[in-house]
Amino acid sequence: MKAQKYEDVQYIISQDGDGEPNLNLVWKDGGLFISLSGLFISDGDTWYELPVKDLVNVNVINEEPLQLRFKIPALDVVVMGKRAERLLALRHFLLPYIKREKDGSGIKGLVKFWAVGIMELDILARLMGEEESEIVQMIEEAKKGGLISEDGRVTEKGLALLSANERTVLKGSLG
Amino acid sequence: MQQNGPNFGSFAEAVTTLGKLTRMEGAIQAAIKNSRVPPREARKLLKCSKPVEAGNTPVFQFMRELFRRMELGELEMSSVDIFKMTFRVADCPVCKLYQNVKGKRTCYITTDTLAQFFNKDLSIPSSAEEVMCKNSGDEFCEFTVSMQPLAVYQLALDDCDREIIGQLQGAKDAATIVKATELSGAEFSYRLDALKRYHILDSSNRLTEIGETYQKFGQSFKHLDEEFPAPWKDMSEISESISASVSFAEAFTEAAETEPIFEVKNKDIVNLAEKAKSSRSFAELLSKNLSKEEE
Repeated sequence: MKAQKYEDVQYIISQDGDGEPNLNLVWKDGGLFISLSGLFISDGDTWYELPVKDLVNVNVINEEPLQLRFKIPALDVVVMGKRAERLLALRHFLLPYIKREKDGSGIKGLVKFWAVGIMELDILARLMGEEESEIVQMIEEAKKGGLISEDGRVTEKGLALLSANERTVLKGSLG
Repeated sequence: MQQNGPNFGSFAEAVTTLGKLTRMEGAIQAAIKNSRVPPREARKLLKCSKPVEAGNTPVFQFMRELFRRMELGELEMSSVDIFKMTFRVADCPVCKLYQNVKGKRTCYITTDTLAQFFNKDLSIPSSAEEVMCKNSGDEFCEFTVSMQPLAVYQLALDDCDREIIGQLQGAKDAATIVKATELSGAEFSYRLDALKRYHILDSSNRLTEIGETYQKFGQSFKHLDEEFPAPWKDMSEISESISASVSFAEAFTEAAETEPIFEVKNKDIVNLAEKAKSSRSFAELLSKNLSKEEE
């Protein structure tokens, strides 16, 4: 398979279990390569393939130095490069081709935070590891779907997304 | 082309598009960095009630010029609401970069630039979203910027507005307020209309519940106006900065395009998506890598 070097990067690959990274590598030096099926990260020895068809999101998680997170189900790859514009260009190039997460786990997370009164966009974005525009879209979807009422309450339908255990914990935290 | 892969077109097309996007990103970074707008100018934009009025503000004229220089197209003001503004790009150059994408919105670079301009240059915490796109079959590309309400209240209303609110709460009549604030009748009327649009006053010029709250916590809502020259006073400085950044990005992209093409052997490839499906195999992969590093 043909691949061309795009940028020198440092990278971390971590497995993502229910929102929390549970395995991590230290930052490693390597190269980010592009191919017609997606991306490769190589340390010069192993070629880690990140197929675009499996990507669910590409986020900026830090601006200086710029860090991009490539998310595929159950796995995160974070890369850091010196040339911010190269990595941002790659992100904007890939976004139209990737399938965005639509499994409802994001909405469920939003409902949980909403139920305990966390409604600020910037805080939600940080807690959920999403961009604010994504959160805005989720809130609109939640309202359209009747999970959050127009006056800002989580509805019975919204609470039904949560497990019995989660509802009990939420009730406790709400006093 | 790779089966089941994305439709990037040819390898050369993908590299060219990435080069164009890198050039645009260079211009955007330079422009955003040098375009901080003084609060008094941002306020003029926020107080507009009609798209035509907003489109004639110096801030929007400046935005439109920046968008041209960043090669993002001809920006138009589409609609204005107190916490939301909609912008339109008719013949969107970004769409043309994604000739192979159909039925999807593609202009993430424009969306992010709008969000950055509002957040960093206007200092209004905001999020942006592309709501219509030529590549998804719409007639034009349209973007909505949603602004955080508290930040809008902090910036949109100034000391004079707060004085009017205070006087109205003290049940002063219009003539007394005009005299106290030294405003012309027209300006007073314009400010009253703005306060109604922001739901501070009702149609009878009485404080609403929001108005009462605003007045009660007015001091904490107050925005400290920093005074500095508007960025459009010296467009040459921004132009130079954009040109330098674009030249650098171009030089770097040209060098990057000459990078050799590797033929990667299947036996050397680890497909991370496949590995991630099995925790055990991923753990094995990590442990193998860690032990290799220790050697």
